[in-house]
Amino acid sequence: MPEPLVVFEEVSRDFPTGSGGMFTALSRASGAIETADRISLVGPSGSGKSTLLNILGGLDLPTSGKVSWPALGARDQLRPGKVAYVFQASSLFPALNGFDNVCLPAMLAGEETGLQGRAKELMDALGIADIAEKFPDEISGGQAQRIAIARALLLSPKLLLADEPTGQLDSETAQHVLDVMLDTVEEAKAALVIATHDPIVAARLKESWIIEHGHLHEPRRKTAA
Amino acid sequence: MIYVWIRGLIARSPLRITGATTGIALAFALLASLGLFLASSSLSMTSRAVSGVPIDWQVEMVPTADARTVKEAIRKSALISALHQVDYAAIDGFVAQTGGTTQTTGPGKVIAFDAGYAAAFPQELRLLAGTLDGPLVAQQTAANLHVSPGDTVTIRRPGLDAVNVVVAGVVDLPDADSLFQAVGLPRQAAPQAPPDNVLILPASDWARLFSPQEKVRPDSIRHQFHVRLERKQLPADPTQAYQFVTGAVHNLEARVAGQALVGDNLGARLDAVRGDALYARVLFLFLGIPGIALAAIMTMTVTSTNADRRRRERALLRVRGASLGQVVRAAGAEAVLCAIAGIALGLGVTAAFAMARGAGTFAPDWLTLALSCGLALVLAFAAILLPAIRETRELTVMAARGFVPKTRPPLWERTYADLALLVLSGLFFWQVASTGYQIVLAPEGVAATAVDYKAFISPALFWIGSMLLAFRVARLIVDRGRKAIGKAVRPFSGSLAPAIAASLAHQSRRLAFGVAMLSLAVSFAVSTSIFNTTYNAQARVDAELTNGADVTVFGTTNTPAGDHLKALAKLPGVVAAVPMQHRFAYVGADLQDLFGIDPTTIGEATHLSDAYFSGATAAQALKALHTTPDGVLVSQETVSDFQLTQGDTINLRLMNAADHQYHRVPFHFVGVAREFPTAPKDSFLVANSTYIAKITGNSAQEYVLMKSSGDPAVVARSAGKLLAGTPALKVKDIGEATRIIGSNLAAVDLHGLTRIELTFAAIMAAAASGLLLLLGLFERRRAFAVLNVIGTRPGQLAAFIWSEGLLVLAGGLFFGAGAGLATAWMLVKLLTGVFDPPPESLVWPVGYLAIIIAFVVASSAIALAITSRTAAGPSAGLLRDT
Repeated sequence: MPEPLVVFEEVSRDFPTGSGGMFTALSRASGAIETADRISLVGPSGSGKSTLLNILGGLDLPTSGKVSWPALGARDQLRPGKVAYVFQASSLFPALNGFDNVCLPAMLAGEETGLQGRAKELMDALGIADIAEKFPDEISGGQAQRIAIARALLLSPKLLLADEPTGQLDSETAQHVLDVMLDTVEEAKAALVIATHDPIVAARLKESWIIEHGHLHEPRRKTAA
Repeated sequence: MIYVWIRGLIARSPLRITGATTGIALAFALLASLGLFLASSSLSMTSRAVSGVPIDWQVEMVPTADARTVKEAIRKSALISALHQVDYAAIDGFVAQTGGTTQTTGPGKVIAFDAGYAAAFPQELRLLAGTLDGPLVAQQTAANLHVSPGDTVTIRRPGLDAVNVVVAGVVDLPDADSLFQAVGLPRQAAPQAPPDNVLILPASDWARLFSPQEKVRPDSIRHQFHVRLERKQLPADPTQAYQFVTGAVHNLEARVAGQALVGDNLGARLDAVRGDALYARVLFLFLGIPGIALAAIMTMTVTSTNADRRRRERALLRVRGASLGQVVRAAGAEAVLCAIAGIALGLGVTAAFAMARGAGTFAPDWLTLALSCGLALVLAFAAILLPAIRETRELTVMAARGFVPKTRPPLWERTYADLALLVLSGLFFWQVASTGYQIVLAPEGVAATAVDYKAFISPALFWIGSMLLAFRVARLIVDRGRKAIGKAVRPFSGSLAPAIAASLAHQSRRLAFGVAMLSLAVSFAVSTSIFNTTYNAQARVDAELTNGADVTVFGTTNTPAGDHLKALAKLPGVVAAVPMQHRFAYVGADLQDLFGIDPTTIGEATHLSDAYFSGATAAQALKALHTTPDGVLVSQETVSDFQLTQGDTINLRLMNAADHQYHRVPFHFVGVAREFPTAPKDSFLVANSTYIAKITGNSAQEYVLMKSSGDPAVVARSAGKLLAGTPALKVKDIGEATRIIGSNLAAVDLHGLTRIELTFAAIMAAAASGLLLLLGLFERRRAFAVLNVIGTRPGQLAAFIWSEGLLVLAGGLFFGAGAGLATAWMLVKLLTGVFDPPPESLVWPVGYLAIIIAFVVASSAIALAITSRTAAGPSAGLLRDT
C-alpha cells in the first residue's frame, strides 16, 4: 500500500481581523490525499477552500493541527516539482513572456533545457502556442490562466492543486483545459484537487469534499468518474 | 464617502501615504531651509559688510565754508552717531637728527584729531611705542627718520619757518588709505596713495602751528568732518542700504552745495557688497534650485510607484457607481492629506535643522513659508490629483481597470532631445565661458544691479540632458545587453540567469528610470560637494594670501618679528615657522612693498599657488629667484608700467641701515608675481632676503609666517601671549583674515548654505536609492509572490531582487558621479569670477563622497534585504487579490 501524498489532522487556521480579533477560516479539518485521487473541493465563497488548498500545498501553515506529506517529503522540498498550484487570479510573472513563464519551474529546478520541448507540447495542447512570446499584460485573463496551468503541469507534479482554474474560461475552453489537466495527472499518476463552484467541473472528479464555514465535511466518494 | 476613503487609505495603505508625505516634506524642508537661510543671511549682510568701515563719510570743507553750517547740515541729512573734526596740513618735509646722522624726508602731512576722535573712531590709530599724549609719528615716517619717542622732529612748513616737536609716540594708521583720501575725486579716478610721511599733533598744537600757514598758504590746509551714521537706520538688504546711504549723501550735498565735498566710504562699501548679495542669490539658484527640483521629482516618483494601484482603485470606485466628481474629490482629499502631513513633517525638519545649525531660534520668514507650502500643495496635487482628473477625461472605466502598457518610446527619446540638450548646453557654456563675462553686474556708483541669468541655461540644460542620457544609455544596455547581463548574473543565479536577464530586459524602462533618478541624486550630491569644497579651499587660499599663512606675526624693521623666530617655532601646534622681510623700495618715484624671502623654505609655512605667478609655476618662479641672488619678482602692473622684459636690470632704491638714506640697488627681473602672501593687490616686489640684508646692511626679518597643525586661532593666542611684551608685534590668524575679507564672495556665508545642501543631498541620495527601490519592489510584491509559490528558493528570489537593485545602484553611481563631476567643473568655470585667486583644479571632498556612497549602498542594501526577506515569506494571500 503506497503512502498517502498528504495527511492532515485536526488542522485549523486563524487570521487576525482588523478589529483586533481572530477569524477562523478553517476549523479542525482532517483527511488524506492518495496518489491518483481526483477531488473537488466544493463550498461557498469564504468557506475556507483556498485556505485548505494553501495548507495542502505547503504555502501556508496551520494555526493548530498537523499536516505532513509522507510520500513527498518535507515541506521545503515540495516545490518546484512535487506539488504544483494553479491560482484563481492571474499568477504569471509579469516580466517574463508566456513561454518563459511556463519554463520558469524548470529553470528553478535546474532542468531548463530538457523541458523546453515539453513546455511547447503543453502550450500546444492548451491552445496557447501562438502567445508564447507575449507578456502577461498583452494577453487575456483566460490565456494567462492556461499559461499558469501549463506551468503547473510542466514538471509532472505528484499533486496538482487548483483554485477555480477555469473560472476565467468559457465553458468549451474550460472543458478542454480540464481534459488536459486530467490527462496530464493521469500520465504522471498524480493526485488532483480542484476548489470550484462549478458543478460541471466538480462532476468530472471522482471525489467531492464539501466545506462550509471552515468545516470540512466527511469526505464522500462518488461511484463513477 | 471622502471620510471613509481617507480612513481606509490610512488603515490599509500607510506606506503609500508615508511615501508621498515624506517626499513632500523633503521638498518643503529643503526650500524652507534654504529660504530661511537666505533671509537670515540677507538680514545680517549689511551689518556684516559695514562693520569694517571705519569712517562712513568724510566731509571736506572748502576754505570759505562755515564749519557750524556744515555740521548742522550733516546732522540733518541722516541720524548721526559720531561727528568729529580732523585738520590736515601739507608740509614740505620732516628732518630728524639721530645717531649722528640727519634724515630728511620728502613732503608729508601733519594732522590733528579733535577731542573724543580716538574713542569714536578707534580703528584709525594704533599705538606702537610711547604714549598717545603728544605728537605722534607714523610707523613708516619713524622708520624713514629713524626716530623713536623722545626724539625731536623738525617740520618744514611751506612759506613759514620750520618748527620742532618732540615725539611722544609711534603709531600705526591702519586706515591710512581712507584717512588721506582725496575727497571729491570722481569714482573712476586712480586711488590716491597715502602720504609716506605723517605726523599727528594734538588739536591745540596743530592750531597754534598751522593757523599761520592757513593764512599764507590756504591751499595747503584742509578741514574735514568724519562722520559715523547710526547703523540701526540702515536697511538689512545691502542694495537698499546702498540706495538709502546714497540718498542721504545726495541730501547732504544739496544742503552744503558750494561749501563742502562728501567722501562716501559707507556708500562705496555697500556698492561693492551689493554684488555679494547678488552672488548669494546666484549661489542659491545654482545650488539650491537643483536640490528643490530633485526633491520635487523624487516626490513625483515616489507617488508614481503606485500610480497603477491608485488608478485601479479609482476605476473600482467608478464601477461601484461613484461619480467622476466624487472620484476627483477622493483623489483631492488624498492630495490634501499628504500635503498637510508633508507640510507638518517638513516644518518639523526645518525647525530641527535650523536649531541644529546653530540658528538658536526658528525665526519664520513668511514669504519662504508661503512658497514652501505652495510647493507642497502643487506637488501633492500634481502627483495625486492631476492623474485622477486626466483619467476621468481620457480613460474609460475598463481601460483604467486594466494595465496600461507603454510600448512606444517617449517623444524626447525618439527625437534625441537628450543629446540635443547636451549639445546646446555645451554651446551655451562655450559662448558664456569664452567671453570673460561677469555673472553679477553691479557697476560702481550705479544703483541698478543685474545678474546674467543666461549663465544658468548651460548647467540647467546639462542637468536635464545628462539625466535623460543616463536613462537612454541604461535602457539600451539592459535592452540590448541581455546576453552579457545573463553571463554577469549567472555566478549567483545559476540556471535562473536567462530568466533574470529577460526579466531585466522587459523592465528596462523602469530600471532605466531608477538609474536616472539615482544618478540625478548622486550628481547633485557630487556636484554640490565638489563645488563647495573647491570654494572653501579657495576661500582659505584667499585668506591665507591675505594673512600670509595660518598665523602671521607682523613686525617692523625696528621691531622685527624674526627676532622671536626660535620661540615662535617651538610653540605647540606650529609645524613650520619661516621669517620674511617686509621693506619698502622705490621703483622710479613709486614706493612699493618689498618682500625678502628664502625661496627654498617659504613654501614650508605658506601655500604658494601657481595662480600667484604669471608665465611660470610657483616652483619655477621660486627656482628662478633662488638661482639668481639679485633676482626680483615684479608685479604685473609694474611690468606694464615700466615696459620690463625678463632679464632686465631694475634699479630700485632701498633704505640703507648705515645712513638711513635710500640708495640705488640693481636687481634682475626674473619673473612676474600676480599675488603674494600679505602683499597688496596692486604692486609689490619679491626678492631674496639674503641679498636685501646684504645691500641694506640690515638683516631684520619683519614678519614670521607660521603653519599650524591644529586650530590657527589657538596658535595665534599662544603667540600673542609670547609676544605680549612687544606691542609693536601684531599676531593675526587666518580665521581673522577670513572674517575681514569682505570685498569678494567670502562675504557670502556659504557654510550655512553648504550644510543645508550637503545634508539634503545625502538624504536624497539615500532616498533615491533605498526608498525608491523599496517602494518599487514593494509594488511588485505580487510578482515576487508568484515566484515564491511556484517554488523559488529564497536564494533564487534574492538573485532576482538583488540583480535589479545592483543594476540600478551601479548605473546610478556611475552616471551620477560622471554628471556630478561635469556639473561641478561647469559651476566652477561659470563662477570663476568669484574665486580670488581662481582655483587650479577641483577639490574632491573624499570624506563626504565616501559617506554618500556608503549611504546609497547601505540604503539600497537595506531595501533589497527587506524585500528579499518579505518576498520569501508567506505570499499565497497576495495572489488572491485581483
